[in-house]
Amino acid sequence: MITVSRLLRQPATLVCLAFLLLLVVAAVAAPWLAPYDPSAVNVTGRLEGPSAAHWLGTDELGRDQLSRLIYGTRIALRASVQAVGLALVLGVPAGLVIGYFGGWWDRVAMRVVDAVSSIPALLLAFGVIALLGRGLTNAMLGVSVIFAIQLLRLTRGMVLAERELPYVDAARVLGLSAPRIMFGQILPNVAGPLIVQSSIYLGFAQLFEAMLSFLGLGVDVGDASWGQMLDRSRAYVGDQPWLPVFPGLAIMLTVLAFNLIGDGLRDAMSGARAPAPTWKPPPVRLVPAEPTRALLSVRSLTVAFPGAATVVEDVSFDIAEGEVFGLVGESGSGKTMTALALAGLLPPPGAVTQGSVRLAGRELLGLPDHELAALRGPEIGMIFQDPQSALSPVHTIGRQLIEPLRTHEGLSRRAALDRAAELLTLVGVPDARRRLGDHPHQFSGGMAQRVVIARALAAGPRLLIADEPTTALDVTVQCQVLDLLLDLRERFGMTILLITHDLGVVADVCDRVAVMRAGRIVEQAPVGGLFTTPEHPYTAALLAASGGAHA
Amino acid sequence: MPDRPLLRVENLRVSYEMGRTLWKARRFDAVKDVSFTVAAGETFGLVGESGSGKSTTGRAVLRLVRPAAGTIEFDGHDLGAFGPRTPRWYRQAVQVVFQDPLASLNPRHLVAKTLTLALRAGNDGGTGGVDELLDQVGLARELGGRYPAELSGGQRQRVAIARALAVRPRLVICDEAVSALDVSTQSQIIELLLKLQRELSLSLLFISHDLAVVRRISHQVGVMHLGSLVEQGGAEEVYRRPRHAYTRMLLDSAPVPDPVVQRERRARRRAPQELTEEEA
Repeated sequence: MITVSRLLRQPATLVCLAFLLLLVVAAVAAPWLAPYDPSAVNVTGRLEGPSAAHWLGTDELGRDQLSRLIYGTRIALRASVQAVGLALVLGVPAGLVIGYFGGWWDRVAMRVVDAVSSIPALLLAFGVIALLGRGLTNAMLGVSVIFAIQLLRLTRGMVLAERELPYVDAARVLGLSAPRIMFGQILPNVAGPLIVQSSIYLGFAQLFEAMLSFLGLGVDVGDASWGQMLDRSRAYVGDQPWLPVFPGLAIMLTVLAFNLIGDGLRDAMSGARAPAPTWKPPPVRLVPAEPTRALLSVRSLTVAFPGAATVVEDVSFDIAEGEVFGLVGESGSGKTMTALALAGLLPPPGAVTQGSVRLAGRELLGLPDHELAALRGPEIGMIFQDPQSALSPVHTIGRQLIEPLRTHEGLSRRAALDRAAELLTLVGVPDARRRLGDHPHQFSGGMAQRVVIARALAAGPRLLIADEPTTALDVTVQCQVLDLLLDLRERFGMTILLITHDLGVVADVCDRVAVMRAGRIVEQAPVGGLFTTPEHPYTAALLAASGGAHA
Repeated sequence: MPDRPLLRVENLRVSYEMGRTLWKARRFDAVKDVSFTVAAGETFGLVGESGSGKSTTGRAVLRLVRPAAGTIEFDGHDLGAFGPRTPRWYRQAVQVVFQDPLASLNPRHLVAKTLTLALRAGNDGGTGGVDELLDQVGLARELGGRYPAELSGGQRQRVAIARALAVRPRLVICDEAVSALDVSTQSQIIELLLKLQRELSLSLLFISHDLAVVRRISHQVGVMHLGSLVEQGGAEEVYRRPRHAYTRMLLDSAPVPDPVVQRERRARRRAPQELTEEEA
């Protein structure tokens, strides 16, 4: 339903749908719409240009071009729908079965698919015609086989991914039969891309029909087909230059319409190209703040998204040099948005509407993007939850580590590599020198997070923002990474803003903590006090909910 | 306590194909020689880190993977004797709740449709309908008309539990069933599971990496490490007096919301030599 309403908001798609509707009407109502009989020969009025009597002119036998064009719609649509329909009926169920059962089925079927895919569609069409005789249906059969093979491949690929999802397992555990799982559960979830692909194939099929008719392998000579009209016009184009124009236009517009509808469907289903928000965030209202001795001083920070409620509201806290400050809350509490706002990394269209963020006395809000970018690295380092997605999978660790060193410190390649190895050793990656040449997938989760930390440290930040740095890790590994963070604080006086949902982690490493809920800080206290005498009922509830192991 | 356990797993081994050459597959044992029992109406907690084989054990009981060796007995029936098609009664007797409640519900089906399908799968004279199921898991009836994407994480997990209950199972396998939820939602779902266990005398095989959660819900606990069950016993027993070194490390690693405890632990970690002396 969402898809349909999104589709109706795309003007280009609407125009194409309207054009398609026009074609369908023309095909169905051809006898009533066509001003003349499409095969009525009129030798006296041959090769005329457009006129009041013959809007699009006449051909070499004096037949009305407009009437032939209208009747041609029938052939065009029939050929396309036939070819794609047959392909769907053959390809999709086969793809579902092969993808779902896998194993030997899959291996054998895919080799056959590979073999058939290596034959060009047109050649296959020739082959079918040679075997079964001329005619549109036979010609399109060859095209259909190629489409079916490609739809099979597409379906199989999606089913391979889909069958691993727990909802399919749940259906199996309920004892649903394999056909019901394939057609009832999986098919609706892979239908979207198939519909898109089919729409584009309708356009292709139209092209093939025109091509085959043009080569004289499609329709019978008497029937009106766009491709055939184009073919005949070649001989007489010298006498009547209008002849190829209209069938050519008809083919082009129809193929274009199918393709644009395919694009539109894809966008509507993926939610891409959503109408750009017209919301222009109001300029930041800077809150005057008294000077503090804190390294980071946040006052009345407010973050808003258009349409949605304010996600961070009136948040204020100070972090002293060398302090580990925890920001704890459940999902949706605004803790991550707060951190992103500090680093100037709010995802658009979100924006800071008011407040003050001062790092070592310097106001960060309202700074232009390039100045903020220059601060990230040397002033503010960040690490995130999933280390593997924070690292680029195609580049070596060494390359990813020396990049910040060369940009921010201006080191030579050689010096940067030395420093990178030093950093890796610092965060506890053994055999650092050799591991610089490794790719991220060669590291375990804990080691990858160490690498991410090393990269954040590369430019020597004064403040390290760690957003759920250990949530994706096993407890024994979490323990080591938290030890590492505290170690860095001890050795370099690093200031750390730790964002987490886990009160155990807060108790483990934080000096002070702020509890966030629904965008606001409900309580802020030194760690000792928060756990023994929580003031806010929400804090108490949170403690009660997570107090399993020592209760 | 009944004499015969509801579920008996003995010397279970499950191996996965790691890659294959043309002739031979390289295999890797995800579960090695695991034995445990689940008593009727009780909860067995299976705890371990990622890759420990705890989920694979659950999947073997669900017959989603085929064991390489060992026996699984449910209520005296040997699963090995089932043949390729799992009998209907077993599909109804054993159900599952997965970790990611969004992925475990078909995104194209309304909640009511998901539940109707489940009810139909188990339809042998049951009286309840979709509304009764929603009542049972504490969801408003009008939520039946929503898609999974329109629900909160906790609500989705309740739907997944309702789907499992639809066929009136005797054993429900909870595979990290509360791990993706916020702590307060986690508590509510655990409360719900405990309530359902009381009312329906359900047995639970509760698989989780979260030691605190497992302790709260389990009667018996097994600790898995690298495919093996390194320790098992009564829940309080295992937590208070862990015998295996790995269990001890696991318990010490999970941070508890108490700064004093955490400070002591860190001090101990930093001075491992003193610890050995103390132990010696």
